[in-house]
Amino acid sequence: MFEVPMLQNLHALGYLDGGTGSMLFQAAMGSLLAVGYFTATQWGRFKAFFLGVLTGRATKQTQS
Amino acid sequence: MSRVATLGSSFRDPSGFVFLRDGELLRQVNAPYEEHYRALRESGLYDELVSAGLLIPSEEVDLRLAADENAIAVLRPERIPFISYPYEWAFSQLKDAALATLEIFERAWEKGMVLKDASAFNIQFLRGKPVLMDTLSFEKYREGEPWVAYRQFCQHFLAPLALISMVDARLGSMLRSNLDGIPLDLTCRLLPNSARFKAGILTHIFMHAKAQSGAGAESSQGKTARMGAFAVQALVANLKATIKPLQYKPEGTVWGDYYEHTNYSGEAMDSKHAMVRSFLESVDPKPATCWDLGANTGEFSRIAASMGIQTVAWDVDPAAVEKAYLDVRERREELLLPLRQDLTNPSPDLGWASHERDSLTARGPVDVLMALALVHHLAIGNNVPLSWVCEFLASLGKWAIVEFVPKEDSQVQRMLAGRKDVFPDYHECGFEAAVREHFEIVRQEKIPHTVRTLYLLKLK
Repeated sequence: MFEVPMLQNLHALGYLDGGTGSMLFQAAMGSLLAVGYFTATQWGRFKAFFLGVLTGRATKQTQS
Repeated sequence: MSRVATLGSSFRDPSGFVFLRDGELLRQVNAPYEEHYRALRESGLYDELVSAGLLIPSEEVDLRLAADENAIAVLRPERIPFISYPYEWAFSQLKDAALATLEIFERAWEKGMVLKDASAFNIQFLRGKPVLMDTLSFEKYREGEPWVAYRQFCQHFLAPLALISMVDARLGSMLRSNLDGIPLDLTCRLLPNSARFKAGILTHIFMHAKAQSGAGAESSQGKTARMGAFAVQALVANLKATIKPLQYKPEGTVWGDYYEHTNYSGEAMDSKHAMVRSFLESVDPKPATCWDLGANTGEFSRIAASMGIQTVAWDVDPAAVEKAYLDVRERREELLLPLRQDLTNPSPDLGWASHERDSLTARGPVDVLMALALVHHLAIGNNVPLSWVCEFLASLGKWAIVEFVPKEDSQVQRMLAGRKDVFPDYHECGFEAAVREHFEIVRQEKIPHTVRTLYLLKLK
């Protein structure tokens, strides 16, 4: 317990300094990571889509 | 007139602060934070996190209880029985706290919000699990903004976890001298080169530190970082994937396997268990809080916890505390909190004006203290005079259960084997004389099949 006047800046919500280097780095790295993340999370859908396309073609070819 | 006092740890965030009104803990929400606070409540995020045990429950109370005129709401959070700090946690406690922080971020993200800070000090252990205690840590996500707390998360969680996992568990105590987390450039210097082969560590520590370094930072002055929402999600997912495989495997430490090398026979151990329970039952009024000093893996702390007493098991050895915590987690024990503490150099008051983080002593005294087979380590192992040991114990507990191990005991003989015996006063009479300066001896019994004595002491 400590009785002090509050250190307040009531106009500043973003009180935490993210660090310029850190912010720029994560922006660059985030984009790269996003590629991997997208592939990892969407791979199942991709696979299903391509398999569907391939299967569809195969069916059409068989029919023709 | 009611008495209002702000807490020394609650001043940085203009969104609000914690204060005491007539001894009751309250949190004020300030006007500039209103939009975010309403979003937290109305999005259902607050309810979701509280029901998942990830956020401390808070009840909104009368606005007239506010500390000043800037308030738009006043909250009464559930009181956390014991405030602990990251530099007192075992590896797995820090890891669980890190993963809880990331899970909270992900849940907030689903509701269009983000964590605006990621301080390890915002996490506490409640009912055996990590919980976020800062209700005001959320803000609405703004399109294109990077995660402002990324650096803080890496310094507070990832850096110490990597150091403990890849170098030495004792490096966890660096958090005590670096309250805003371990600087990443320092972490890079301490980590072995092999750490660079781990993609997550290479990215979030080595490359991140490089980006922060002088040249990089100067050339980037004035630039504004923009980042897509999917990239933020990917970053957090990658941090999670980096932390999950980190492990701490203690080997060959003294305390982690203490009970396998103790000189107690099975019968003596059983007797000691029964005596500790009986002594605890003799404490009047029934204790609500207990600290077990030198608790090792918490074997005797569990007796207190099983009696409904909120218990903290302190030990100096990171391996012992790690084992105690893993057991707590596995058994879902809610009343036992294992923590690291070097009693010869206990946690001091730290931070701004030495008021942000409380010392060990400031967080006491507890109703009952246990110091089982501890005194000889302090008195003989560290040359602390018996009278000082007793004075220290008296500052921490209203009652104490203390085991005295005399020189005839094989453990003490082993300690004295390699050094000169400069402890002429170290005997039962000397101990009792030192004890009587502060305590009344209520019970005193020999532990069967040993040369040791158990004392129940009441503060004078």
